[in-house]
Amino acid sequence: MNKRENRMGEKRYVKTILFNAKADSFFVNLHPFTKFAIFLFLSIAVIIAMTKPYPDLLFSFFIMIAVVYFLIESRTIKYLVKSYLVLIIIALFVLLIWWLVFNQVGVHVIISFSIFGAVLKITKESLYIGLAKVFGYGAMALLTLLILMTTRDIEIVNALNQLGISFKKTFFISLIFRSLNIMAEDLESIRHAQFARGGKTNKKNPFLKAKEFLALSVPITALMIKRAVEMGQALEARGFSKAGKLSQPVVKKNIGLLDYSFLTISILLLYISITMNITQVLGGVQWLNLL
Amino acid sequence: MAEPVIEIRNLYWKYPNISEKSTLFKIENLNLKIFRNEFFGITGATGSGKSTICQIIAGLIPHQIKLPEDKLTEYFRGEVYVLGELVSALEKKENSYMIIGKGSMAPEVGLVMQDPESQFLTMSALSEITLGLQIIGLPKEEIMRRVKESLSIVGLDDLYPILDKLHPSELSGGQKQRLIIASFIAMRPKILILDEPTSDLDSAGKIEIIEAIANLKKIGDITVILVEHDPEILKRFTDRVAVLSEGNIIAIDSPENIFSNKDLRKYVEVSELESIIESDEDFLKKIDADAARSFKPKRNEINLGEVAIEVKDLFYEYPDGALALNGIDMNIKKGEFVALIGQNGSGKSTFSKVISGYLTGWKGMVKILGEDISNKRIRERIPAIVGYVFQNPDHQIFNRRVDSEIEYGLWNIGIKEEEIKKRVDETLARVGLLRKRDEDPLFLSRGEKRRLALASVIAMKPQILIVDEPTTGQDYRMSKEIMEILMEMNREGSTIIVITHDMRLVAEYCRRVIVMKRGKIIFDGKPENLFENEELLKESSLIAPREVQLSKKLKETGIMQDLLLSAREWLEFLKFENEKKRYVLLTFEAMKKHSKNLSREIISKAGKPDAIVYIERGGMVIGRLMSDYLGVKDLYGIKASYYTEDGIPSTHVSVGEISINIPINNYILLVDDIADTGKTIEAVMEKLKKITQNIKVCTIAYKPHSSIKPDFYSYIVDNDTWVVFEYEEQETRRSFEKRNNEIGLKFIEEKFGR
Repeated sequence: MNKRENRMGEKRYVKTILFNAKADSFFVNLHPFTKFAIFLFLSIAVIIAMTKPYPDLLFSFFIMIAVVYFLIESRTIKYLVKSYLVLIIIALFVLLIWWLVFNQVGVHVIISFSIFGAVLKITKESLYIGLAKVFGYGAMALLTLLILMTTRDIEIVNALNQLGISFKKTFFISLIFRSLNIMAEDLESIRHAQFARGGKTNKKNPFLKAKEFLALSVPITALMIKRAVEMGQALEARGFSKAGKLSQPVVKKNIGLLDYSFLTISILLLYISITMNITQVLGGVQWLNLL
Repeated sequence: MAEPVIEIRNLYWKYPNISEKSTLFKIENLNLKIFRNEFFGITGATGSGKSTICQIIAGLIPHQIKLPEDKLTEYFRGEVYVLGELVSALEKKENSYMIIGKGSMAPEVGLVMQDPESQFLTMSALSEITLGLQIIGLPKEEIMRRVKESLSIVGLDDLYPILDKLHPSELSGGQKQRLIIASFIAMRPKILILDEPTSDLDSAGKIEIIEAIANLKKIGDITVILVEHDPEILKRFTDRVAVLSEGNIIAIDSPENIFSNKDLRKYVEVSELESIIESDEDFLKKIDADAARSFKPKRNEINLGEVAIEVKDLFYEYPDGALALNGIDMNIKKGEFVALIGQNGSGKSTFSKVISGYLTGWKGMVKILGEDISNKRIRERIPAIVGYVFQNPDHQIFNRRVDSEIEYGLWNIGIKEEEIKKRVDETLARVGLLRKRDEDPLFLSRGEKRRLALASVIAMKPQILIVDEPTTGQDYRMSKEIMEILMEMNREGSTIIVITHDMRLVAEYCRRVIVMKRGKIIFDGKPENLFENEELLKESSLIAPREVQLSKKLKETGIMQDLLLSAREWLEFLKFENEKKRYVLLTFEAMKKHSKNLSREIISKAGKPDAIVYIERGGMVIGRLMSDYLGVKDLYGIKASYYTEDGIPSTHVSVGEISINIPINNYILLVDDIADTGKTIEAVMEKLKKITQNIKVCTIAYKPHSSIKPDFYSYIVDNDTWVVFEYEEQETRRSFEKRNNEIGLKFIEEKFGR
């Protein structure tokens, strides 16, 4: 039996916004509010660390490693490697090159060359700051993916209910998630059908490309209308439009010890990023002979 | 009987349409009463109005549909009462009308529709069941109690502990549909409507739903309306069945009476076998064991060509880590007609995506017509070689005109303009859509869309054609039409791969079956070998069709050597059987005498007909004789036969064209020599009804098992008697010689000499 199958006692994985995650992993069990707070605190912390006069490279690196650990722990790392790693590496590499080319700072030149008469130099300072940004943005990107890959869409809806937003409004959000889910499946079939009829959206000629996309819109629109009608009927068959005061969802995730622990650590990390530069404290900057 | 919980009076309904064209009523003068705690079935052809009635009872129609206020009576008339409350009616106020009534009858009435995907509204299994209960406003404890109870009724108790962690995409179609049923049961409805709940499901899903319905019957105090095509399901569960045709109820009766009524056969989905067999047990007893042992069904074992598809060690893993294909090895040869079967998630779709060149990232070797499709350039050429027809035609309609839809694929693969025009005309004619070429495909009926989808692919003349679920959501007649087109393509040399859950289709058309389970092939062979393997059937949650089950009984008792797979083979067998029974001769002189007597009876009872139509060739002699005796000069011949060109009985009667140039004021007399099965006469009558409804049938002989009883006939012949007409001596002799019918030949020799 497939280890991800959903029979009793075998529900080891849960379906999340992106892919699946291990059901008993730390991040899967955190409350969505906690994850949002962690995301907020750590992003601010990383931005602070990156924007210091001498960015805190080790802090960003530490955050990135921590995020990678939780990706491994939640068994989501393989999806990241398969689907996003190449993209992230390319993006970060472009970011580094961009930084090195357009930010000619520092005096400790490592290498210099000229392009069309313009002299470009890479200094220890610019390389250091560039790497700190790469780690910083890398950490933020991975953290975002970690949260998406360990959060279920229903949790977001339930969390919004806990905030006091009415069930009818949160249900509307839930319906959007569900519609997107169905649409993604329909789109996959439509693209296959288009391919089977010799249509390709990757044509080089922009006119033909536009024509193919236009053709794609016919079945998508028709199906969206059909699905919307059917979902409306299904909703009405349950008496939604006549509903009075609705009961609250039966599943309510409470903020527990695990959430408090993670929140405390996040706040602590934010505090550290504000009050000190770990790289400097550990002698990293001096070691690089930058001061 | 108990009090009615549903009462529909003089109901008319039609859907508003976008175009200005006037449309017919979808429901016309419908009157219906359904009683408390009744298990009521509704059946009828696709598009007959079954789902519309369900939505009317649930109060969704007309309340949820925007109608032009000044023309309400053109769309809706009549009254609908459910549980004693007025649900929908029209009320006149001054000069205008308005729709009154309660509208949606939730939670007292629950409605489960065909497609579980669109009905699953939330992102977890738990919230799906609790949604309706939250709408009612029940407290948490009561909600959880009802969730547990309803899950138990639909047989999903094992999911309860993990319910809140289950995402819709983690559930199979059957599980989703059962959860939807559970979500309505939890609301404790007094009426539950199940609108074709099994139509989109695989065999396993169907079994799950059937078991859930069986449990519903046990809980009592609930009225259930079940819309279904399958006679077996209706016979098993329902107390009464209504047969719908073009928005009208044409019969309401017990399921046994409905499915044994010969007059209703064209409206309900009854296998051809039903027209021969009343009860399995009685029928089996009547079989002549000696004859059965020597019978060998004729099957098209064609000489296969070179390898069309070659697959070795094929593996594919989805991004979420699920192994969809786990080491597939197979060869499919040119000209094969293969069924690819297996439960949802078995890997069928993934496999077909690979061989159609769409999916990349697999490991292993795949060659199409000898070319390795791991090469991107070759893969891009695949659409011109491998056609793919999707289960849902809405997924593959890319244009706003029927003819443009056919042209689309042809342009893409680089066919020249002149050739495109030719192929569009040819293909539209082939699928019967020539007259609709200017119309918008989005507004075609479901059956027409399905044919258009098929046409748009076959116009590309693919050497290999993959068809995904050709029969889903369609009645038997419509499915047969599509299968006949595929058979024709196969005869022309195309390799056909059908992905299906329909075992009747597998048995009747496919000479090779590949069963997949969890990404592996667990069976690859002939359908008869699959159906004989009980263990495998159980493992794959497959059910052999009734035709096969019946012949299995014969084989188990040692009476028969080979399994009979389809109604066609049964007909062939029974014909073989009949050849061993009694024979009578009807001389030309006797024919003249009978015709003379019949013409007297006709004149006295019905008057002189305006025209005589005879069925070629058997009816030609009596046609001419009747023309003389009745003094009717307008005599027309019509071709009709349910035999194929090689003399094998077909399940489908093909009728030729006829044009009658005189006005019909009285009636047309349709004549044939014998009403044997009655199918040919029935098919010709359908054709003639396009000219006039006033048709009278006259035959010399009539067999009681005929589906049509002629208005005039001369004498009754036993069902197992072969009537040899004198003027057909040579033809009958040749037929007996061809079939080695020794008893028949002996009879001919006795009567006519060598």
